[in-house]
Amino acid sequence: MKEQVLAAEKQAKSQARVQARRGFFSRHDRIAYSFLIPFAILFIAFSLYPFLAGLYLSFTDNSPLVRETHFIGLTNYIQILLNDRIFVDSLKNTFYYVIIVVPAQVVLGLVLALYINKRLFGHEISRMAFFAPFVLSVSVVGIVWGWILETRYGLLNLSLAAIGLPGNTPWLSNISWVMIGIGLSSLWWHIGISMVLFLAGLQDIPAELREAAVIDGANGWQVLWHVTLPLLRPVGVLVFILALIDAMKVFGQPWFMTNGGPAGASTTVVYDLYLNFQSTKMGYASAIGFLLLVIILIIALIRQLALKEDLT
Amino acid sequence: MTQQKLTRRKFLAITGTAALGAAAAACAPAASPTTAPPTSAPAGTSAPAATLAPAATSAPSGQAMTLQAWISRGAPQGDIIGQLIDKYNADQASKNTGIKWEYQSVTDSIDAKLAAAATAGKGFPNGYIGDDSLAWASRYIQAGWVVPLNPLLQQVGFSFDDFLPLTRWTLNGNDYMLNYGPSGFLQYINMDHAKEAGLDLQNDPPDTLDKMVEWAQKMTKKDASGNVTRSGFLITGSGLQPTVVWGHILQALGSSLVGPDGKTTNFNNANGKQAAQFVLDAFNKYKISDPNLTDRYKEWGTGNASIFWSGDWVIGSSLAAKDLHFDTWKMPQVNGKRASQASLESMMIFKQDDPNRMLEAAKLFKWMFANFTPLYAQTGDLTSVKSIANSDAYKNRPANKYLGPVQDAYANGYTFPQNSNPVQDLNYYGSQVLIRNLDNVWLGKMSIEDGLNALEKDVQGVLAQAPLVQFKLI
Repeated sequence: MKEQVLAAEKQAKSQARVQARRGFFSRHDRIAYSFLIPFAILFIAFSLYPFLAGLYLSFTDNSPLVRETHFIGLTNYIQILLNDRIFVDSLKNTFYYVIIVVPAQVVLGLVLALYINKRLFGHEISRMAFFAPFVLSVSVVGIVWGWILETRYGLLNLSLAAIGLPGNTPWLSNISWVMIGIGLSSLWWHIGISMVLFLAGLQDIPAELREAAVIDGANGWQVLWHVTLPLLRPVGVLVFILALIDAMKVFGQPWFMTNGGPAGASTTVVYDLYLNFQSTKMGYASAIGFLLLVIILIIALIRQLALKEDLT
Repeated sequence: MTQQKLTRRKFLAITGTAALGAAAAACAPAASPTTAPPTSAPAGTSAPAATLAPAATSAPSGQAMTLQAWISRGAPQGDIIGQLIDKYNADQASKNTGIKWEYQSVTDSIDAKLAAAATAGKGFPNGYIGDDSLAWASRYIQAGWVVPLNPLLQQVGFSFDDFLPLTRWTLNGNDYMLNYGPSGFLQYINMDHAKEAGLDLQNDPPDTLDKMVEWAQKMTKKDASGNVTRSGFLITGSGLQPTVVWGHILQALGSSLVGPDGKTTNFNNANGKQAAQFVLDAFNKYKISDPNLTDRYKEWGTGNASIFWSGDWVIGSSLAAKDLHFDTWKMPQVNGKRASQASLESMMIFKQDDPNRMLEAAKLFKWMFANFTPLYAQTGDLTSVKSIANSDAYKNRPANKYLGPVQDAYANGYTFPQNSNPVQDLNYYGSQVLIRNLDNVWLGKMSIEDGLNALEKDVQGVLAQAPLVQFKLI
C-alpha cells in the first residue's frame, strides 16, 4: 500500500515537472497561439490602433484642412463640456431616447420571449416575424419608418385613426414627439435580438425547477417572479447593457428620418460627432467619442454598484 | 520509407499557418499612388494661386492608367454620367491608350469620404463630377486639395469661350469648379390645383409675394378644424425649406446672410425680421402651409402641395411623377425685386503627385463637354455652354418648357450665389447652423428677435474663424 502511494506521488511529481517544462513555448501553446495570431493582427490593426489613435487625436486640435495639428491637452474636453451648447443638447436628447427605448426593449423582449417559450399557437411564425426586422439595414428602417410616422398619411396615424384613437400625432415634426417616434422605429428594429437572448436564457432554465415550484403550490405568476426572473437576471443584465450601448450610439435613425431636427431635438451625441467629423474637426469629434465612451462606462458601473451584481 | 499519415493535429496546424499567411498578405498595403498633403493655406486667406508642378510635356505614350471618378448626382443624371464615362472608356480602349476610368456614386457620403481622404492625405478621386458642392468646395480649395483647372484645361485645348455669361464660378481669377449645370430657383405650381381654384397662370401669375399668397390661399385645403391638409404654399415645419424661403425673401429685400465683405452678418435687421415673419405668417396668419410636414419632395411629388419653391433639379422628377401636372414661374418680386439662389453642378480635379493623372482628368472633362448632349436631352439640367444650348436636342427637350424662370434669373441678374465657407456650411440650403437656430423660431420656441440674435452669434463665430469665400460669377 505504501509503495503504491509513493509510486502515485512520484508519478504526480513527474507529471508536474513535465507540465512546468511545457510553459509558454510548449507545443500545445504554440499551436494555440498560432490560431490566435490572425485575430490578434486584425484586432490590433482595426480596433486597438484606431482606439489609441483616436484617443491621441482627442487631445489635439487636428483639423487637417485648416491647420497643423497641435497637442492641446484637455482643451477639447473642456470646450465640449462647458461651452458646447449643441453637445449638451445632444446629450440630453440621447438620454431622453435611452429612457424611452432601453426599458421598453428589455421588458418587451422578455414578454415576447415568454410568449414564444410557452409555445402557444403561432409561436414559430411570431419568432420569425419579431426577429426579421433585425436583419434590415438602418437606412431601410429609417426611410420606411419616415413614411410610417408621417403625420398626415403615415401608416401609424391612419391605423390609430381607424380604431378611434387620435390620428394626427406629429411624430417627426414636433420637438416633444420626435424622439418617441424614432424610439418606436428602434424598438421595432431591435426587439428581436432582445427576444432571442431572453429566449435562450429561458430555455436554459431547468424545467425541474419550475415543476418543483408548481408542486409546492406556486401559481404561474409566482413561478415567473420567484423562479424564472431571478434565473434570467444574467441575461437581463446582458440585454440591458447591449440595449444601453446601442441607444447611446444612435445615429442612423435621426440621420435618415429627421436630419437631427426639428430644432435639433433629435440630434444625438453621435450625430453631433458626425457633424464635427464632416467639418474635418477630427480632434474635437474624437473627444466627443471618448466622452461618450466614458459616459456609457459610468452608467454601466452605476448599474452594477446599485444592484451589487457581478457582471462577469 | 515510411509514409507519414496526415493526422488531424497536423492538418489543423497547416490550415492555421495558411490562414495566417493569407491574413498577412491581405493586410499588406496595396501599391497605390500616395499624395503628399499640400501646404494648407491658413484659414481666412484667399485660395492658393495656381501652384501646380509643370506638367509633363507630353503624357508618356502607352502608359496605362486606371483613374477614379466620384459621381455625386442622383438618378437620372448620375446614371447618364456613368454611361458617358463608359463611352469614354470604350473610346480610349479603341485608341489603345491604356486609360481607364472607374467611377463610384458618392451621393450620400461625399462629406465623409472627403474628410477621411483629407485626414489620411490620400484617397481623393482623380476627378469629381457632382452636384452642388459649395458647402464644402471652399474648404478643399483653400487647403489646396482642389486644383485650379485653367492650366490643365489649357493644356488639353479646352476653351471657356463657349461658356454662357455668369456660369463660371471663379476665385481669384481661377476656375476651380467647372460648371456643367448652372441652376437656379423657381416657383413650381400644381396646375390641377390652379385650375380647380380658377387661377390663370398666363394672365394673372403669382408674380409678387402678395399675389403668391393670394394664389396659395385659394388652393389651400383645410379640415373641419382649420388645419391645413393640402399646402397652398409648401413649407415644412422645420428644416431646410423654411430656411430657404426665409433666405430668398431676405435676399430679395436687399440683405443677405453675410455682407459683401464676407466677414460680417447682414441679416439681423428689419429685412431679416420681415422675412422670418413671412414664414411664420404662412403657418399662422395666412394658413397656407402645414407645419407638420417633414418631407418637401414627397409632398410635392404626390400632388399634395400647390406652390413649391425649389431648384430646377426638381423638373426631372416632377416630369416623372405620376399624375403631376405642373408649370413653373419666376420667383416672386418682393418690394419690386426678385431673388433666385444660383448654384452649379461642377467638375473638380483633386491634387495628385503624378501630373499626368490630373491631365487625364482634364481630358475627360473636355471630352464630356463635347459629348454632354444626352445628359441635357434626358433631364432638366441647364447647360453652361452655347454649343449645347444651340443644339436641336437641347432646344427641343421637354424640360425647356419649365426652365424659363431660371433663364430669366440669369439673364436679368437676380441670381445670388450660395454661401461658401471653409469652416462651416452657411448656405440657406442645408446649413445646420441656420436650421438649428431658425427652427426654434418656426416652432415657436424663440421669438424672431431671439432667433436671429442666436443665429448672428453662431454665424459671426464661424466668420471669425474664416470669412466667406467669395466666388465671382463671370
